[in-house]
Amino acid sequence: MVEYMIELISRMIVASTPLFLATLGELYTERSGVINLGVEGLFVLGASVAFTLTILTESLMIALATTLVVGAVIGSIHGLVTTYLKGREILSGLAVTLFSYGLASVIGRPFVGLSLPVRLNLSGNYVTLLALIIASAIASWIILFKLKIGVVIRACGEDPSSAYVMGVNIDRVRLITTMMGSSLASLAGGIYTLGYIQVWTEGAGMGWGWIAIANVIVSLWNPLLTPIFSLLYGGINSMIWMMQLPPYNVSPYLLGATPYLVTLLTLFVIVATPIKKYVKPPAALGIKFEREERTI
Amino acid sequence: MKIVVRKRFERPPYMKFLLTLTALGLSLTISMIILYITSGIPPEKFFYSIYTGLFDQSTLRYMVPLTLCGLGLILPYKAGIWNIGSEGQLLAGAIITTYLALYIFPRNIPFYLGTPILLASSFIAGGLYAFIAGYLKAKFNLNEILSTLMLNYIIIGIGNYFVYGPWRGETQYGYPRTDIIPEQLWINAVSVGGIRINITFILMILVTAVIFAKMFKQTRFGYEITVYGLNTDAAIHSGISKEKIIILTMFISGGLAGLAGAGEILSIHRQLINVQNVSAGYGYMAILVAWLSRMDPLATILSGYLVAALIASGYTLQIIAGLTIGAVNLFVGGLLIITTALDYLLEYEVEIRW
Repeated sequence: MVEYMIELISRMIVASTPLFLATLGELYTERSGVINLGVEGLFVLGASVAFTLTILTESLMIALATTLVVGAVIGSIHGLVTTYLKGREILSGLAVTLFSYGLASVIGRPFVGLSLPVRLNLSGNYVTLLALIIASAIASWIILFKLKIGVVIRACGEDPSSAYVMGVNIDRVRLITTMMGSSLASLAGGIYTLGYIQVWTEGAGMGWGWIAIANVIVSLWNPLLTPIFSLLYGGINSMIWMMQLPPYNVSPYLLGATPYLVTLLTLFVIVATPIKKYVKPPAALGIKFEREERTI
Repeated sequence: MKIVVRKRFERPPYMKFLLTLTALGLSLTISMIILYITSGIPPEKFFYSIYTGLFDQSTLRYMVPLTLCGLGLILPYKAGIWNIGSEGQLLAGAIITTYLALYIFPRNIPFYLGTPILLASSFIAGGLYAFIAGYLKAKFNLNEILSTLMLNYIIIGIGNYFVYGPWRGETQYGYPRTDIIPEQLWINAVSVGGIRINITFILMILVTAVIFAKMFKQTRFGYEITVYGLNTDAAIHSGISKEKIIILTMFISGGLAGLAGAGEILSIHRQLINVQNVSAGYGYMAILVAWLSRMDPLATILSGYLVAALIASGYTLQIIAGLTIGAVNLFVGGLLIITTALDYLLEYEVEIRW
């Protein structure tokens, strides 16, 4: 029984890691005033790229490092369109997601069903993993709320006009945070395939990015709170794995819908109970920073 | 060299149309390069598949769900409400259609009774499914993007539970699909000059497009939607009801998606199969259909045909080059990104001085 509980807990922590990373990335992006719906696609793309490269190079480091680069490159499309080109964020983000879905499917197609030559052993180190999650949450809080760079990022999300007067290049800061968030989402996808599911089929990782975006709201845009829902979600995921097996035998399709139902209900609880006092999105979230006539 | 950017005061004529064509050209070129690099598909094969897609008969078949969903999305999008849930709303329509036809109707129900009930219930089912997100947005200000997305995944789970569980057909040799619905309820395509067209649904699309075009030009409701989208605060202060706009636009767009779901069951599958193959991403691609038309209901017919052609080419590529259908997302996403980026040129004029 004790071993069983330990396995459940270790699975919970491993499953929560990708969600936590993607959430943290999106949190930085949203704090600077950009919504990046591309996180969903980049997670799926990262999963595909990491799996493919691990098979080709047999090196986890190369695979995961590449996911970071791929995420930054594809994320920069969203960054450029929404900052310098004043494009609609929701459309651009969805487009990046669809494009990345397509790319993931084309890249991973020859590798479907193959098994990984090397394993990323996360479940053996779940205590370290949990410590790392909490440490990065605290570090991010310090970066965002105690350091000057955090003030700059938050100023872009709260009051870009004032920040501009103080000499901040709004579009550049937003581009960088978008690329960073995209990188983390893509890395999260890589960790998801290599460390958690350890196989790749078309569509692996779909839906996790949406949950990450919801998690930013659930965490009230505060990095310190991001591990909570990540762990809860990781827990649900490992429960699902257990409930499909005897003696429970619950329909895997109904179980597959539960994480989304739980997320929707959590969002509902956040906005419909007194917690809603604390829901304070960055004031300029999704609002373009514009000057009338510009010379580049 | 110096690049000067100025806000535009007037747009050259046909600019939107030209930008859309440019976006199409660019995105196809990019997709071609990516497919050449990753899968070694030679450019001539790629363009052959695009060409066949444009004139393939199946294009008219994909056009039906895409245009119905796309037309529906125009309403919330014009009001600045992001319904991303056509996929789930389509499934709500498909599931209710199958349920009524198989488990509620008597087997020999006449078509003049059964079909209208099925179409009406699918509209209501899709509408009510969208209403959930609309209500949560109107009442609690719950982000509609996230709620509609979550609802998509939830109904996929519920639908597949039925298909793989209690609704698994008795005559289907254990395959995960329901029994076939009674034949008199089918809405078949008919052959017009050698081309198979589903007249019922094509007519439905044309009528809806004309009604919407008139609604935006001539009715109070259409005007309210436009004003609400342009300046929400001003609209609310001038007495336009926020709840009414959100809930009605969501309901109607969900309803049309539900109708598309009924169409997929009644005219294509005739039974419920794995629901992800019923909705097949039409709900997401319809977002592109709505935006390519620049929110013009009549232009939606054209953009619906165009996106349908992209899907048809995707299937051709699947056959001649062994790609999976997921590759279609490459065209659709690429086209949507480039369209969004080129919108910049509608607002700003860029001049390069040497």
